[in-house]
Amino acid sequence: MTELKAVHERKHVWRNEFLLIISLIVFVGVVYALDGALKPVFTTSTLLLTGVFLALVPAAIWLVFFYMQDRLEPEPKGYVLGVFALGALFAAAVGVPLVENVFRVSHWIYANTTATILGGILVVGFTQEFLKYAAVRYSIYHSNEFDEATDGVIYATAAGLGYATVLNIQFVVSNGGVDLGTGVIRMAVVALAQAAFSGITGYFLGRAKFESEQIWWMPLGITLAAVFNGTFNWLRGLVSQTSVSLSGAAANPWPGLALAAIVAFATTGVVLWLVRRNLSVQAGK
Amino acid sequence: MKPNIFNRFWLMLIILALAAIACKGGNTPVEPTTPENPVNNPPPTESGAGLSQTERAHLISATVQIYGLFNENGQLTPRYTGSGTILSPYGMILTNAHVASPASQGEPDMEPDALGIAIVESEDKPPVPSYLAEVRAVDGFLDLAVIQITSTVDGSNVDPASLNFPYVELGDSNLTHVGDHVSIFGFPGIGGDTITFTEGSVSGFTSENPIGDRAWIKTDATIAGGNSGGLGADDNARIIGVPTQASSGAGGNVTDCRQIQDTNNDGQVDQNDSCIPIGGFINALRPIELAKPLIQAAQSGKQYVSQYTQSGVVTEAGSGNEAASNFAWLEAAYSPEGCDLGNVVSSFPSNTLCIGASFDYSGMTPGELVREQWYLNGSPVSEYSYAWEWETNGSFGTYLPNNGDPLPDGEYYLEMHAGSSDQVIGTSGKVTVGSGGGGTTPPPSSQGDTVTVYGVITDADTGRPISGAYVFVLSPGITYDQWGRENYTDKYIEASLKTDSNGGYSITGIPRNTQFTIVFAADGYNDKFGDNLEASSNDPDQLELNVAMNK
Amino acid sequence: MENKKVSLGDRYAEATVFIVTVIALLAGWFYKSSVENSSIPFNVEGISAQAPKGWLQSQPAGDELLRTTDRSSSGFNTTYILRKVPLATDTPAAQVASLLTLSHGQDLLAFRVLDQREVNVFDKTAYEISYVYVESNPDLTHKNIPSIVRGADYIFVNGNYAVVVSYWADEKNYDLDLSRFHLFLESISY
Repeated sequence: MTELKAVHERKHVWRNEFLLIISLIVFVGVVYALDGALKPVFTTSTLLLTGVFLALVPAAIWLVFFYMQDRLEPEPKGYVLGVFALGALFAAAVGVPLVENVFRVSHWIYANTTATILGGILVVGFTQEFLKYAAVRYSIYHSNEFDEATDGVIYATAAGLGYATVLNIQFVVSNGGVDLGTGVIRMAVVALAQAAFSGITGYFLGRAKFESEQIWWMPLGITLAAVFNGTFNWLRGLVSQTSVSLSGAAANPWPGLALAAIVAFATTGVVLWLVRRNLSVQAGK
Repeated sequence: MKPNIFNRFWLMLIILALAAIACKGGNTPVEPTTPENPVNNPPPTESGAGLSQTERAHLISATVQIYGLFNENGQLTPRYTGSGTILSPYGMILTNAHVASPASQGEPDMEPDALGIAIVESEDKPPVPSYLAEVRAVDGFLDLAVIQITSTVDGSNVDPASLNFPYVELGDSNLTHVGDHVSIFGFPGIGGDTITFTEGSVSGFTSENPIGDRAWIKTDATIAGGNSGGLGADDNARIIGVPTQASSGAGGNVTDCRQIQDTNNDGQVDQNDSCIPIGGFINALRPIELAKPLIQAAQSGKQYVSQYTQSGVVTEAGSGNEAASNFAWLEAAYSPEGCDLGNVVSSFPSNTLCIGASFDYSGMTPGELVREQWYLNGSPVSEYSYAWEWETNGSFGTYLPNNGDPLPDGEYYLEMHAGSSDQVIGTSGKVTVGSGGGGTTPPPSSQGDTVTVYGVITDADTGRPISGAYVFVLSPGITYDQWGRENYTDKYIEASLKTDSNGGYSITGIPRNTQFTIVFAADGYNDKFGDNLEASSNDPDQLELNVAMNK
Repeated sequence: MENKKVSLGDRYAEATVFIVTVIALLAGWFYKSSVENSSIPFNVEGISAQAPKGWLQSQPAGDELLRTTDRSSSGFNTTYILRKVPLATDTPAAQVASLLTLSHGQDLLAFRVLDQREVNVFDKTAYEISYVYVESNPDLTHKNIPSIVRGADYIFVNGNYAVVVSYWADEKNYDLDLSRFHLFLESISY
C-alpha cells in the first residue's frame, strides 16, 4: 500500500472539513430564522438546556459527516471520540479555569488594542492551542492508528471541536442562557475558529510524526496557531464593532461569522494544499 | 419602570435588615409598666399603657416614612427621610415642613423634586416605597406641612377617592395635660429601618413668640432624629402632636452634635465648623391644634397662608381697602442677604440674578398680613408673606431672587395680596427676563428643551442584558479619546449611572442642539462610545438608544 | 500502541513545545501585570501617589483629594479614596478611626465594622478599619440587587492631619483586587 492510495482515500477528509463549514452556516441560518419567526418563549431552565443542546451541534455535525463518509479506511471511531472528549476535558479542567480565573483575561484584555492582541496570543492562544495539541500528542499520536500525515488534521480537529464545545457550553451556562438567534452565531464562530486553528496544529503534528522535522517545527506550529487565534479574536471584535448614534448601536454578529467562515475556508484550503504538495513530493521521490 | 420593581430590591434590604437584627440580638424597646398598687390598678394585660395592641397596630399602619427625592442624573434619589401620619383615607399626610418642603424653612437648596411615601405593610419589615405626594399646605414657621398622595411611585396617577388608607383621627392638644401618657411612632433611621415605637409622658409645655403658651408639648419619650414629622398619639389613639425638632432659639433641646468635620474647609477642625448631628433626640411635639388650619386648607383646596412669619407678627385683619398701584421694575443687585434696588428698567437681560419692583400703596394697616405672589409666564413661581410693618400710605420696593442662580428667562409679574381675606390689591405690568422681544413671550415650544436618552445595554454575543454597566455623558466637545487622554477625569462627566438588573438606563436633562459624548463601559467588554452626538429640535423628547456591547 | 518508538528529535520537540508554551504564558502574566498595574502620578496638597491608569478619576473636593474607580468591575466598582483630614494636634489614630466609623455609619447603608487594629503598612504605622456595607442603586424606580461592599480604611496620622486611604470593592472582588490596592497604598507618600 502506498501513500498515493491513502491520499486518494482521504479526500473525503477535506470534504468533511468544507461540509462542516457550510453546514454550520446553514445551521446558524436555520436557527436564526426559526428564532426570529417563532420567537419561542423559554423559561430560564429550558433556555439553558436549549443553549447547551445547540452548543453540541457543531461537533455533532462534524462527527456525523465523519462517520458517514469514512468507510473505506475507517479511523477507529472510539479514538476520534476519545480525542474529542480529551479536548473537551482539557478545556473544562485546565483551559477555561486558567484563562478566566487565573489570568482573569476578561478584566484586562479590553484595556487597549495591544492588550487585546498580546493577551489574545500569549494567554488565550497559547493555552488553547497547547491543550488541543496535548490532547492529540499525549493520546493517539504514538498509536498505529495515527498512520499518516492527514490523521494529524483529523484528530486535531476532533480535539478542537471538543474544546469549542466546552467553550460554547460555558458561554451558555455562564450567561444563564443566551438569545438563541445571536447565541448560535457565536457558537458557530467559536467552532469554526477552533477547527481552523486545529487544522494548523494538525498539519504540523502529522509532519512531525512521519518526517524528521527540525526541533523548532512543533513549537512553530503551536506558535503559528496561537498567533492566528489571538489575531482572529481581535479582528472579530473589530469587525463586530458598531458605532453609537442616537438611533442606537445594535449588535451586528454577521461580519464576525463571515470572518470565521473565511478564515476556516482559507486555513483548511492552505493546509489541504500543503499536505497534498508534501505527499506528492514524497510520492515522487 | 415595571410594577414589580421593588420586590426584589426591598426583599434584599429586608433580608439584610433582618440579618442585622438577628445579629444584634433582640432587645425589646417596650418594657411592661409596673403598677404601683396592684389591688386598685389591675396590671394591664399589654404593654404600652393606654393603647391596646389593636390600637397600636392601627397607628403603626397609619404612620408613613417620607423620602425627599432628588433628580440626580435623571434618577429620583432619596437624600433624606422623615416620618408622617396619614390623616384621611384619601392619603392626606401631616408631617414637618422641613421634611415636606425645606424651602419653606429657608433651605431652598434642600427642596426635593418629589416626595416618596413608604407604607408600613408589616411592623417587622421596612416600609415599602409606594407613592409620590405633593405639598398641599405648608407653614415654615410652625414647621408643619400637609401633603397629599397623588401618584404611585412609578408615576401613574392615583384617584384619591379610590384610596382607603388607615388613618389617625385628630385629637385635641388643648386638652392635653402634664403627666398625660404619649406614644410616639416614627422611623428614626435611614433605609431599611422598621417602625419604632417609644412612649412617655407629657412633661410640660413651652411657649414661643408669637404662637403663644402651647407652642410645644415637651415629653420625656425618646424621639430619635428621623422621627421628625411622625405621630404623637394620646391614649385614645388620636394624634395630639407632631414630633418636631425645636429650634434652639425657642428653648428646645438641640440634637447632640459635634464638630467632627472640616466643614468650612479652612484646614482645621474647630468651633468654626458646622456641627454635625451624631444622633441625639428630639423631645418636643408641635401640638395638633397648630396643624388644624393647614389640614382645613388642604381639605378645602384653599391656599394656606401662615399667620406667622419670620419678619413680624400678624395682629391686624386689615382695612379691606388696601391698594397698590404705579408698579415699576427696578434693577436689583443680588447678595445673599437680599437684593439692592437700583434704577428703573423696562426689561432684564438673561442670567439676571434678581429682579426688583416698586409700587405705591395706600390703606395699609401695620400688623396685617401681606403676600407677594410672583408669576413666570402666567404660572405662580414664588410667594412670600409677611406682616406689614410700614406706613399706611407710601411707596414700597421688593424683589425676587433665585438663591443666587440666574432667574429663568420669561415674562414675570407681581401680584400683591393683603388682609385676612388675602385679596389682590394690585398687579404689576409684565416684564421680560432675557430675550423676549419687547415684552412678548416666545411661542411656547411643544418640545422640551432637553431630551431623555434611555435604552437597554446588551451583550452582542448573547443578546442578554448587562446589569451594572456604566453609562457616562460627557461635556460638550469632549470626545472619548480626549477623556481617556485626561485619565477619565470626572470633571467632564455630566451624568453617570449604572444599568439596572434588566440592563436598562435612562438619562434625563440632555440639552437639545448641544453636542455630547456618551460612553458605555462594562466588565469584560470593549468600551462603546458615540462622540459628539446631538439631539436636534426635531427629535422626540424620549430617545431610545439600545446598545450591544462587544467582547 | 506498539508504535511507541519516539525519535530523539520528536522527544526534544515535545519538550520545546512545552517550554515555548510556558514562556508564552509567563510573558502573558507579566504583560497582564503591567496592564493592570500601570499607573499615573498623582500629587495634590503635598500627598503623592501612583493612581491606577484607565480608572475614573475625581477632582479634589474638600478633604477628599482623590476618588478613583475601576469603571469595568462586575458588581460594585472597585474604588480607592484618598483623603487628607485636618486634625487637632496629637489626635491619636484610634480617635480618627472612631470619627470615621461615625461618619461611615451615617453615610453607608447597613455599615458594620469587622475589625480594627494597628498595623504596619510598608514600614509605616497605620490604623486599619475593615468593614462591610450595602450599596444599592439609589434610584427607587430601578430594580437592582444591592451589592455587599467590603471596605478597608488605612489611617496615617502625620502631625495636624491624617491621610486616610480607603479601599472599597465588591465582596467577591475584594481579594482579587487587593494586590492592586497594595501597590497604590505603597506608592503613597506624604
